[in-house]
Amino acid sequence: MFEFLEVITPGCGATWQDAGRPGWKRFGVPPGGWMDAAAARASNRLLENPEDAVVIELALQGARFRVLADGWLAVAGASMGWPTGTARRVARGNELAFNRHQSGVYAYLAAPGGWIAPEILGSAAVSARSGLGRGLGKGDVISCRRDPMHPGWCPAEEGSPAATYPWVIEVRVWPGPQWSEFSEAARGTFFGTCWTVSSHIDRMGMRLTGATIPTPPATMPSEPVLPGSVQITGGGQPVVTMRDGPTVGGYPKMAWLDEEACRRVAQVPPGGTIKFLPPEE
Amino acid sequence: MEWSAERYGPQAWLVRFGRDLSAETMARALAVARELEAGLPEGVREFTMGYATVLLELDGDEKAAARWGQRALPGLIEQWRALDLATTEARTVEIPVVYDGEDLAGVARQTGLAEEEVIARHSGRDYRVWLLGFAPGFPYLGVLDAALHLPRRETPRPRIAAGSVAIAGGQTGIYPSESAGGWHILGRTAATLFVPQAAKPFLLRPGDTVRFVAVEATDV
Repeated sequence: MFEFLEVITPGCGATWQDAGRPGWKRFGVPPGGWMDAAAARASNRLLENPEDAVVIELALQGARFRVLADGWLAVAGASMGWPTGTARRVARGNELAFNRHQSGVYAYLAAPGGWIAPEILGSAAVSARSGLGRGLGKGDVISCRRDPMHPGWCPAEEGSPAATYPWVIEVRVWPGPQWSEFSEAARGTFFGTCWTVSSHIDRMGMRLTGATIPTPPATMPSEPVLPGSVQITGGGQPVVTMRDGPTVGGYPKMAWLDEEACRRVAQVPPGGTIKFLPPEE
Repeated sequence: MEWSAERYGPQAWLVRFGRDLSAETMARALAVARELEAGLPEGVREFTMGYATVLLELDGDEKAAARWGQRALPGLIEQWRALDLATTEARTVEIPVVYDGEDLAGVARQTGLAEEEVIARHSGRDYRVWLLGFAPGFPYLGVLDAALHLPRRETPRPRIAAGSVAIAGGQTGIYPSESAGGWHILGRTAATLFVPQAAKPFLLRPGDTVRFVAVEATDV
């Protein structure tokens, strides 16, 4: 165990994440885990960690850390004023500031061997709303599994070019369970609108604005909900269910996004827009 | 009631076995859950219950899931239709409740009942855990006295304390951890429904009988 960083501030949110905890939905436990699996795994690969090693997920901006020991760090995913898609040498006493939001929403910070974090039900993924762990807080001292100076290999400071996440995206959907209960007009509105990501986004869900979708008249008893589901609330607004979302719910589900579509949607910040493309025939 | 099944994305099937919150639908849900708890059918990696639905998530890709839906699912549904719905022996769990919730007065007003009558009706019957969902260990309990059926609050509360006992529609439940929610809060319990680090993390299981016992604040 190697003490590596001290949290000065978690900013908009900093949590331990890994691949999550499948297999517990029937007890009400959401699958959880990284919002952008591809970026999280990329951060681990930069240090030759196991791909599923625990990383820190940062949201939007504002997180700052103090470096407690010389070593290597890797950052992938959203760009927050710190080089992304690369491994970097840091020195004891440095301050790492992720305080300038440039693109995307979620960034991943990996350390040699992976971070050491408490496990609950087989996973370190924090889902604060579900009573599963807590986010990083001011003053937390965090440790990694390997000597920070000696990751799995000798990283190069230049990694692959950093990903930039667009503010405007199009994603293909699958029909959701209530697809056929929505009227033709409702589906027309859903696919004809450029939806704006509101400021109400978190690990549970993303609320979109832009139009009002007529909802089916019947209310339904709560039924299982998968991450990636696009639910239409009573007010006719779409909410995209994310990794920590409730396992069952009573809103009708117009559409479903697969993991790739879901992680792209997750990286669109408030103010960005999403256009949904109808399912392939 | 006809059983039906539909795709939920490329790797899951949602099976429907009822539309209403009746005792029969609950018996079906409990019977199906018991079967799946005893062993997952081949090709299924996880199941999740709804009131009148069960979600089956499958191993393998889109094609394998489509094939499974054609070959294995109809037989499985046949088997579930034939299940004995007679109530099997259930554990009874008593939940002590201090009925001083912030919505008690409002519920009394909206139902036209005295507060004592709301409490008597809520604690006056046994419930069964229909399913766990929404949040870890959150029990959806059926079926609530018809005189207490109310739509959800128009504006959900951003923060509901752990242990809150609440009602909505024909349902009553207990919030295991602090969360947002739109149910009417009648009271609170000191019972712990979810202990993440315990060998058995969840107090309640589907099929359990739950009995709310009104207690004074000093007993909790």
